[in-house]
Amino acid sequence: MMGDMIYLAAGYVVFWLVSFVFIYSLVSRQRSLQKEVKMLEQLVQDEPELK
Amino acid sequence: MATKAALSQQEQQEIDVTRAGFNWGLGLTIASGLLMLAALYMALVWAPDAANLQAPAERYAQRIFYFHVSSAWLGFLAFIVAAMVSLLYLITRREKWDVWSLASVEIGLAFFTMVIISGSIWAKPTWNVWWTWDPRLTISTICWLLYIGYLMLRGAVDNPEKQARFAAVYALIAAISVPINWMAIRWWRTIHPAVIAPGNNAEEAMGGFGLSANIETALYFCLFAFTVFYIMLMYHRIKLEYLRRQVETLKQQIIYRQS
Amino acid sequence: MAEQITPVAKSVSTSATRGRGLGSYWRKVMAVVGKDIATELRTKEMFSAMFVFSLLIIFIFNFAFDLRAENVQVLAPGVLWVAIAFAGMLGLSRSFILERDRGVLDGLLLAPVDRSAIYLGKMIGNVLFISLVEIIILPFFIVLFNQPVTALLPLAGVVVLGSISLASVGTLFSAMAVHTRAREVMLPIMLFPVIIPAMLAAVRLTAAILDKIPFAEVSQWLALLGAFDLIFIAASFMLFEFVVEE
Repeated sequence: MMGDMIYLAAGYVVFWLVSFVFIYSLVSRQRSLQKEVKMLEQLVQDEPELK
Repeated sequence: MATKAALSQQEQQEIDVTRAGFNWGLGLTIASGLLMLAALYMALVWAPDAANLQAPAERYAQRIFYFHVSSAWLGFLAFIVAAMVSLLYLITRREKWDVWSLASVEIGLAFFTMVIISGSIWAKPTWNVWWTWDPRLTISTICWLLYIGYLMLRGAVDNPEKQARFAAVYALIAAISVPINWMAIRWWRTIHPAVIAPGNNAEEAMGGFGLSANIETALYFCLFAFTVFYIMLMYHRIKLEYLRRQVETLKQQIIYRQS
Repeated sequence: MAEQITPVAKSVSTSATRGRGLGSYWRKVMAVVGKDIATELRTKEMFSAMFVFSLLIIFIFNFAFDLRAENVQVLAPGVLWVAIAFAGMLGLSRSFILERDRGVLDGLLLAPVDRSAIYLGKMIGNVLFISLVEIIILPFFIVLFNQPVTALLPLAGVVVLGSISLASVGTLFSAMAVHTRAREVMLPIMLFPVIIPAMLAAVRLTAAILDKIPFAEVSQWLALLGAFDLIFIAASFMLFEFVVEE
């Protein structure tokens, strides 16, 4: 009986997998962008000639 | 000095938006998550069994239908949204529409990926093939390719203004092509009855559509949950895109001032 | 660069093409077509490239499938249209690339010619080139696949209709593809999914001609092909100016 459920399980796993991958990509992109903002801030602070 | 002040002002705006937007965003995320869990329950437990199907594997697999169809609906919705905002962009040239277009296409791509893979998984116990050029799967694959084309086009154009313009034009052509594609593929399939035509058995595979009100209810609920899911994803993707563009502009400003 | 622009702009913008009204508009279109034909007649690069490419594809499919007589009928239409589609893309991308590389496109835009007239001119030019090459390919196709010779004329008709469908969107897309980093590669990626209904219709019509199926059975495909051509010429016509604006 478990063997019969495998397709159902696989089918639903797909949805969660794709959703997870997508959301994770959003989160990681956000994180790296925020890191960039911090770095840029640093850059500006270190070199106040950057008017 | 000015940059530093500008940065902190920008940063300040950002924080304000985040604080205010955080509530919206957080609320939306939680609501969507809960709805999706509920939809999962509806599809897997609440919805009635497909009584007319023999093999247990097929009967269980039939439940894929709820999420599969919902994904397809949302994939197409995302497509339509992308086309509409593309038209808006070409008319108004407001950056907002371009951001929406990109977000909708990316999310639509995710949905179509789900449709195709889940369709294939559903096909195996039902028709004993991993793949079939059933009209619905075919059109989903074509839409998937169109989305990929859109993203590749954007990736291949460096100038942001050109990128937005070209993407909008492509999205519109793609949108026009979908209904024509749909008609052509349907005609094509009906002339080849010798080939396995699972499309004809689709209703059977779904346990008979009009047969049970519960099936419809479960489906509508899933559709609703997926729509909220789409809105939530759009919200976050759009915010992310704005952030990315801000960072790009900042970088340009700094580089410019450095030279 | 400036010296290259002016002569071209001059050749397109004559006293006949300046001014308003349908007549002068049409003359503008024909001027663009004429320029394309003149350029091609001089070098014949695109023509020969497309011809050889189509021929190669037909040859390759022919012996790749190790065809016995029974299989040929089923596969022939598909093979023909694969050849046309690929060679067509080659022709489409080349038409704009050549222009860009010599800065001639900028010259065309400087000339007081409507952007849409440029689209029509380029499209008609593309249709002419693709149709011409593929109609010449037809006899080779008929010989290699042992098809009835009487099919030649109706096949030529289908070839023209199919070429129109390729050129309608292809001209628009190749104008975009020229500005991308991947250039030639972008065009097939963008174009193929959009073109599918037209290709399906063309293959179906070709099969009907070769198998001598009565017209009534496939008239809907002809209608689809015709509708496709009209719809996408109209859409591309309207969207073209958004692509070439500066």
